[in-house]
Amino acid sequence: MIDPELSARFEELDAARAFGDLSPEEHAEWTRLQEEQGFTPDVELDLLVAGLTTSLGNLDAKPSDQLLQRLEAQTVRFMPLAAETSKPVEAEVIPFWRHPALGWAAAACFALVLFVSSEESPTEPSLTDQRQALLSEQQTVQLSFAGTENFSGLEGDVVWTDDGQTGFMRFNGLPANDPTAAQYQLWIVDPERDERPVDGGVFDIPAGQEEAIVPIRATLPVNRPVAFVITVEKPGGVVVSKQEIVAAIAQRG
Amino acid sequence: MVPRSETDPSVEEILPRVARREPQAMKQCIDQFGGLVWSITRRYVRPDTEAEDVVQETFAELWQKADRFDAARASASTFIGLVARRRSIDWLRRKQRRPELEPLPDDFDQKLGASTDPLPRIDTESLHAALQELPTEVRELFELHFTGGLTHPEIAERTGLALGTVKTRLRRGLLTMRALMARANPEPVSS
Repeated sequence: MIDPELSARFEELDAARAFGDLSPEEHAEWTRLQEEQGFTPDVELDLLVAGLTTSLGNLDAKPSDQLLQRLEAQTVRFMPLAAETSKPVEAEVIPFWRHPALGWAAAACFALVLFVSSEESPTEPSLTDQRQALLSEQQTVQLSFAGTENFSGLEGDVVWTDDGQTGFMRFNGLPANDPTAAQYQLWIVDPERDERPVDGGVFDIPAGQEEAIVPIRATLPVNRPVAFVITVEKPGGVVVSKQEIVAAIAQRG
Repeated sequence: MVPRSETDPSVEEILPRVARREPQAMKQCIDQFGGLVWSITRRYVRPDTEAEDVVQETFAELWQKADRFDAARASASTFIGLVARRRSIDWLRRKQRRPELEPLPDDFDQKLGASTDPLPRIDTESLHAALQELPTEVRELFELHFTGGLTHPEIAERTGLALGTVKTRLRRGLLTMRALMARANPEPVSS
């Protein structure tokens, strides 16, 4: 039996949530009413507020040319990376969905960084050479990847430079994925920048390859990454990972 | 006045094209809606360098969730506004270190079709029709908030109303508007 007074109170708090102005005390009450009374948030209110914002607002500010350039550069990075690979071997595509959920070892929250396409012009050095060159730079850090339980055969490392905001991941034994079923996604953990890890975008490991090198070129600044975490996600990746399958972690000591 | 974009099928088709991963669709999405996303984000996020990051996050989320857009439920600008507001409020939450303050379910867009009392398509035309039925004092607060971009404390200062009164009127006005629109929905949208 629904108590009409409590229901009305929840609706009002839910409207406040849609406006984005719940106080901490009101939020506690909103949560308690959900738990105790079984009320559910009305997501239509969010759509209504968004509609009012876009329909009534004077939303004609122009983004800077610099931002538009960043956004356009980002579009080419949405496509999954094709890793540079070598030494074809017989390999089986691993059905990730059969792996049990694994714990998340690294930090707190999420934001967004995307990989740059790995397409190379004929004159561009190979990823192997680029990685080697980066390794020779003084400020470059090199961290080893440790595979989690179901990825224990994995070896690899990440090389990264804070100054250059670029890096490479190298994998041996990371199972090939079927991109229509699941894709790998990189998360860069940088507590100095944000409590949420930066989404490093998705990438694929083709079947029949032994070693794969995947470039990292963050489009959002990362101050000082303390860990690089590889998860397995649905095709296209996710905005916020549930961290159900963690494949590998590389951490600063 | 209904924005030109809402009556232009080629604009409303941009998100489905992004979902189909058509070449150039994302660039057209940025060209068409970049100003909208930037304007919404700037209302919440400062300085501009941080706002630019949030705009990038918004377009990345649009790339990932374009397939959730349902033209029968809302205009493209409303859907994009929803994502832009969500990313901006999420940024505020993180900045204020108030971890559980503004929880929106990650699958919020999937739940839109699950309402027992669904709204008609949310676009400028349906919103303006409902707005006309709101009491004048509530409509004025809506204009200050949504058109003027004023925060609730700024509205209280401008109008001389107590902050609590402003909040209550806006919240109840939103619920009234929802009821008005649901009542006007001739054919509940099937999910």
